[in-house]
Amino acid sequence: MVANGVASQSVRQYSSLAKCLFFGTLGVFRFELRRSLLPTRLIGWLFLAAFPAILLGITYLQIDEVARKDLRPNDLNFGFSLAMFLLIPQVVTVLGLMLWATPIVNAELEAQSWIYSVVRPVGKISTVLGKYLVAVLWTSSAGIAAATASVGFTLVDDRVQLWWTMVRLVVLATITYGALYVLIGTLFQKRSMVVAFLYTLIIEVALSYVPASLNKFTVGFRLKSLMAIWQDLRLDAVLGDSNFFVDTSAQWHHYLALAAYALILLGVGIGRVWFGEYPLQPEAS
Amino acid sequence: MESNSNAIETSPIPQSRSSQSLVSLSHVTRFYGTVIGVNDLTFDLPIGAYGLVGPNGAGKSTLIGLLTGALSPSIGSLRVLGKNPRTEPSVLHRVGLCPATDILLPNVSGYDWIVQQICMTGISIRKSRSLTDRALEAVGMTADCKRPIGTYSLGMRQRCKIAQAIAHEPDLLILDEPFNGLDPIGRHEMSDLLRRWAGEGRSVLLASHVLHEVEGITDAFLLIFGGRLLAIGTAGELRGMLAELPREVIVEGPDMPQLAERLVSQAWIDFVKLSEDRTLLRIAAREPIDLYQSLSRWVIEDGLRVTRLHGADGDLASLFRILVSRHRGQMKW
Repeated sequence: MVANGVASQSVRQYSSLAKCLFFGTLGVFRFELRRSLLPTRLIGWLFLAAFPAILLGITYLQIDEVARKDLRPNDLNFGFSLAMFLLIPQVVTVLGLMLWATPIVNAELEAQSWIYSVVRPVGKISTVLGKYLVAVLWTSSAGIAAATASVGFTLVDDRVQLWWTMVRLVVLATITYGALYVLIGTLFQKRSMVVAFLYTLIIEVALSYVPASLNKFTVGFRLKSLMAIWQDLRLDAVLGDSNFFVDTSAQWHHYLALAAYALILLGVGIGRVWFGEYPLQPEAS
Repeated sequence: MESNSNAIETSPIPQSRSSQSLVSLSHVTRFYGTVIGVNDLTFDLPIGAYGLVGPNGAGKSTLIGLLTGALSPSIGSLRVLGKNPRTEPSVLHRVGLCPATDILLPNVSGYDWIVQQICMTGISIRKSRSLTDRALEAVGMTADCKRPIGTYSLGMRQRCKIAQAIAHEPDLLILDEPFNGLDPIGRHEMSDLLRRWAGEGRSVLLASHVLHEVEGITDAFLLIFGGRLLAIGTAGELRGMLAELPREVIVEGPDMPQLAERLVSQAWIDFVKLSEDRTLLRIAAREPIDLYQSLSRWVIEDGLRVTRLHGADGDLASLFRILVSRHRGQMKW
């Protein structure tokens, strides 16, 4: 009887916390989404959505009719797929998430609003999850808009296929890089953007292009591999042995790896805010 | 009410208060690196309204951080409404906090911000809206709540902070310097609001460095300084302690020269000073109880006429000064 009472009390407590988590995350999501529509943020969104199209448009105009006839379809597909991959799932998403996900805790501390989340039952988790979801939505939408605006300036045979590849890569990139930058934001309150930038430069840019087994641990490797599968890129013709750069054996390996990255990184970030403490005000710092 | 050994004698809380535990601390110490935020706090407060009084840097905000689960104790344990706020966060449903720090979200409206805060207590957006409306009305912010916070005065931001703390109708309301930035009318309205809140049987812990602000809300105090609890009790009990502490007394009447003659021969007198018009006597006594007993006896025996007797420093501020001096070792018991 006593054990049943304790068990039902625990169930009640967890159900109450789950309710807090749901409505709290929804509340933070709604609040942050409204903030994302402020003029300064919309200008940032427009910039991210437009600059790949501008660069690809300039490239498109530089390739004259003669060159277009000389280039093989496989080369065009490889070139434009890689260009769009670098510009959109890598640069647009990384820039967008650096603005949104990296300062996830620091922005709250600077606005002195972190204390309000801390004193709600699971407010710290709701804040991280709500802000993460808005970061993913805001950046994904900018990336998808960029892909939509850019795809017209490519010379591939199947532009719809390229667009759809980019959309899927943008969504996967924002979910995974978003979790990575949330973790960096929870670990480093000061200069979190600098840490995120250096990490991206050293690990995601440099290491993911190094022909060694180590690059398989990067998010970029997984995204490149999926692009190669979806765009049917024949990389061996261009790179020789492409196994070090991409793994085209099975899609589900990459889905699983990206899902694991996102869950682990987000989980560690949430654990950091749940069990850790941040300075609440000058007296406590 | 129980407190630790390093504080002044503990005092029972008024009988009207419930015996249910509001907060209970057992040897709670909190370090920030090598700095001590609060030091070995042990006390147990029943449901009720309390003032947490101490100068800036005394440890009030650290204590509030510990009570709300924002900080964990380095040593010791604590419970709020019977639960540990760190390990049983569901208790935070029943707690509302208005921190001392300002809100710096210039581009969002106070209304949207409060709705978000209320959602985090597990309340749906629709219900959060109606609770927010009610709380904003209670603090007199209905008219301006949809404007961006950046356009608010300090007092309006303070009202918003209080609205988010009371909107979900917590059982324990914790306020850290809630009168900061309020004009005299705002202070009066805020005092009324908090008195009503406490009058409805809900608990309040009001931290302030201004004594009279707290006195207007509650008569039960915790005096904190240097991270330690100096005293705990009602205003009357704290004033009672004052009677046992060295102090100055002013006596007025036409027979002050005769009274001065009586006093100068007493061992417990530090000094006696007669005013130029010889109708006012300022007395410093090391044993105030002996002074009061002797005064009343001489008045009867010698027929001395006394028109007025009052302490030179009889308010809570002086008690606080005395307790702090004693805590620093500048004054003996």
